[in-house]
Amino acid sequence: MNHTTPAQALCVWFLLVVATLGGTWLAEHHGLAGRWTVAVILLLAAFKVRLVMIHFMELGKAPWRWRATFQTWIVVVCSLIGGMYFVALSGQG
Amino acid sequence: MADPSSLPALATEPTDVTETPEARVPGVLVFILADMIVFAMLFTGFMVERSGQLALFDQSSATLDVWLGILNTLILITSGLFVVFAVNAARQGRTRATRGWLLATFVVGAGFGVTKMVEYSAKIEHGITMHTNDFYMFYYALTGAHFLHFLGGMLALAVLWFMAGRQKVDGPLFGLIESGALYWHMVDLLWIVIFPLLYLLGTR
Repeated sequence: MNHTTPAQALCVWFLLVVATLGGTWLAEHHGLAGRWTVAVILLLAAFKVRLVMIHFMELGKAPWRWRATFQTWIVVVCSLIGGMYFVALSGQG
Repeated sequence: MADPSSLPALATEPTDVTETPEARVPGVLVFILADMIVFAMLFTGFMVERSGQLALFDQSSATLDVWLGILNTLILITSGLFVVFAVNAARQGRTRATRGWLLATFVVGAGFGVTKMVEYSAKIEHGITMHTNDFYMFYYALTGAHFLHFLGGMLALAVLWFMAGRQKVDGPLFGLIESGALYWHMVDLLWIVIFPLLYLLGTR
């Protein structure tokens, strides 16, 4: 039995809520982590997307190729956004 | 776009859900992945334009209502939770519970539409349109494309709710319920990226 149970889904939902509020709080308070605020926000977004994929979409039990493909999407998207954010930032001085 | 032959195949998938062979993957995943790649390209386009007009993008981003963005995130993840409950109930053959959770998914999800309309009308009232600047061009294009996917998901939920009243939910319909739920989660996870991209990147 490896389907997401309602109790597990509820735990995942709670983590998603905490990560959403935490990430936004960090952004709104100009970040305890200073210029790394955006990096933390993107990592939180990646964490949230992964939670949805693995537990809500049940890709955790899908063949590994599917799991790997979807998770590659997270890595590529967040690296692109983060990378281009920091390149733009350093270009600005 | 997705391989169209993957969709009708759903109806013929094995319905014995007590056995979950590793290989059984709904064909809708191909369609979802194709959509996610298109969105990834849009995200990249946004970041490229942003690099050239940093101050403008940050100033424009600051005019967005972060609280509406959070509210929309919370609405979609809660709606996503309910659709997990719906799939779980359908797997156990519980028709009433399945329809109840599908309805809950739809009703909570409708909140996203309401918030988005409030947001769009506030922007248009202030004379902010797609043509205002490149940030808003992306803002309307990204959230608009996402909104169309949202509407598609809502339609799918309504159809599934209707069909679940007429067919066994753990019969051939189960594959469709599962596919609809997967699609709905895609609407959710795309928003999880769009929200920080448009609303939070401008933070310093």
